[in-house]
Amino acid sequence: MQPNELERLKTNEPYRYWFASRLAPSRVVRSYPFIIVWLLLFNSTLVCTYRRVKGQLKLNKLSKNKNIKPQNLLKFDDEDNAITEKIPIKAKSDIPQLVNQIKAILKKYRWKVTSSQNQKSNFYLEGKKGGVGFWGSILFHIGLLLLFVGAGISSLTKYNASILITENYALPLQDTIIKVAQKPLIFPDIPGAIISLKSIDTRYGSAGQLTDFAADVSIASFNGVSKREKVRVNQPLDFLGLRILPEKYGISPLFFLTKKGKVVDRFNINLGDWLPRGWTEKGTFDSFLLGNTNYRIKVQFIPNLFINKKGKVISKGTVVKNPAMILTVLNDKNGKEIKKKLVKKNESIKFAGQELIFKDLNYWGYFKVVRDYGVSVILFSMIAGLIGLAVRYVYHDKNIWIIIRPQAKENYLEFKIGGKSKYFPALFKEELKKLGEQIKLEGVR
Amino acid sequence: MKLLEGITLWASVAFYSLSLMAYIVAVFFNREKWSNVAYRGIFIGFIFQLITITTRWIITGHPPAYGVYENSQNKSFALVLVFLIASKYFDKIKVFGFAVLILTLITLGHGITSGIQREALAAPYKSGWVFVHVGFGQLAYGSFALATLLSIGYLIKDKKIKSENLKENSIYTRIPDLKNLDELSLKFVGLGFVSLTGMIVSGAFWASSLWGAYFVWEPMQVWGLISWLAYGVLLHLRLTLGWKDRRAAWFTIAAMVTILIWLWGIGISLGVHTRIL
Repeated sequence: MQPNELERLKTNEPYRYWFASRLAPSRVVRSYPFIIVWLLLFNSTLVCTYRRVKGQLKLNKLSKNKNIKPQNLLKFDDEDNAITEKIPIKAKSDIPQLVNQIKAILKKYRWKVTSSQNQKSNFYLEGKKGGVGFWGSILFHIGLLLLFVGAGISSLTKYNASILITENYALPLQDTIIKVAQKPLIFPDIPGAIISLKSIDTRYGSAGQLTDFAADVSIASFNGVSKREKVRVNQPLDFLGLRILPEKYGISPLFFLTKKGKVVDRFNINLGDWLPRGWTEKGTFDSFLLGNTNYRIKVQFIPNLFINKKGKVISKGTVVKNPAMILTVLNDKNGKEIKKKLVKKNESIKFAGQELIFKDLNYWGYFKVVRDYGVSVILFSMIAGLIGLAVRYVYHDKNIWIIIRPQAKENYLEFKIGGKSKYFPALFKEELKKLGEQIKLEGVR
Repeated sequence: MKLLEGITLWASVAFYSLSLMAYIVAVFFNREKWSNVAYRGIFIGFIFQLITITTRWIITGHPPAYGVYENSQNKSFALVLVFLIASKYFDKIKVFGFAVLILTLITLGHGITSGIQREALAAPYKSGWVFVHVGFGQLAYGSFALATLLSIGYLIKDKKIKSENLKENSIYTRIPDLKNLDELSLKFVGLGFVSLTGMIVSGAFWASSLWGAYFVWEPMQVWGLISWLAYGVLLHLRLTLGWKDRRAAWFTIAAMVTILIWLWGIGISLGVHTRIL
């Protein structure tokens, strides 16, 4: 909402204003509860990482121990979320061959398999999956930490200002600044340069939406570095660390003021912010004082002049096609109308021995000038975080173990399959059952 | 091409509607085989919808992500896509096609009644990030919506079990086991969260070239962040503090409210997300 809209809301609808101002997202997100949630989330993430690192180190220690006994694997049975299934198999093949078959099946499903055998000829297989997920988690947290660093750099170094340039004028960049929205503590100044606007080109769709907004901008630093580019929406101009982005535009008619047939002044007047929604049938007004005189010129701009059958002046739409203006000369002291006239390009209004000619139609462009050293860190951190999160989602830890015990009866094996999934035990149980059945099926062959 | 778009649009609506009817027969009249018919109907409807979206993309020359109709197409498409992929891996959730279709038809109906006219792309949308940003956003919506439906299914079945009124061959016996439902819901919350993050990240890149800032505290961005935080809290409660079952299901439903406010409420009513002029 624009400041004037807010003021209007405050006067006309105080209750709505009260709610809007207190529940405005920009205010909510800067509130303490919001910051607390953010911190809790950060702390919780930190705890999660700590626990994962601790768990991972413990697992690494276990797997490095070469004297690992199957009994250690069986301890998993006592842990939460551990699942075991007993499947009796009548195997035609001998045990080592069966073990190899099982290994092949597990590897097909991307299990990392290790096997061992004890003195009683019992075979043990252990499979692991999802170890990469750990690195995903780490990457996500690195991304999160970088995000905080980037935000810090950004808040300390971000420069954000708005500039206004009129077509065909070349001015020092500093002189075009209308508003500085953010001035940083570090590097508060922007490089000295001359900026000019060569032209503005706009296009509109059938529903009145702006489909293209291109500004031909030229900029040259005092050190001799220069650049000329068509700045478009989504295609900003990058120059010596500055980013120049188009925001809005308006019209700036070129007037010639003549006295006794001689041009005494030539100037552009940047008319107020009216395009494309501001124009109504009545027109949008703006006014300016003519030099140091008492003459105020009221301008009603008509983007596409059309005079209907009743002789009424209207505009066919808001797109500039056949520009004209209704100029009213007023006495600035008492507001008395001196003269009023509809003028098209190269036409004029005469009053008090002088003539004001509407010579040409130019535009003004309103641009945002931004410099932010933290933004690349932030964007990099976001990519790292996203990749980490995706890896973490796809790969989550799962363990599987299989024990094969030969029974007294010939060709009869007791087959026990177990496993553990921290987050999805019920779904993993289904997976294990299917895997067990497949091993049984293929093992019997 | 325009004719093809129109034909495939209505064909997709027709197949989804017929599938919904088949589901009603299957669920309420206990005819199991109609459930398979309904599922096949969804698949055919989905293929027609895919052709509709592709055709529109070719005609307009831009990804269909502009205006209420195109976004409704995307949302419903993403939901059906996530459902179809999910049911390929978890066969038992096919019964949720009933709820998915209701949501899909409401979404499509809203889009179609808003007008299907093709508009030239407004300047802010002319960015390579549109496809990535909207794609991630709709995938997040589809995943969260399915997770919410699974959580609702969980609560309904749980209530029925607790009331000891679960009869054999009733509708409720076709809903997967509670533990499976709970974990499936978590899986889709996870997928949605990754997609939502992808949407926010791609949005930050886009915003950087559109506004010169990765984040500008405008309502859509803020609500995107609120949704991300809500699901972030949910995931941490589930994964770190071990929340599950009923309270996790309630939280999943509550988190979906943020998505609805964000994508339906603010996204449609204010329309400030890409305003520059």
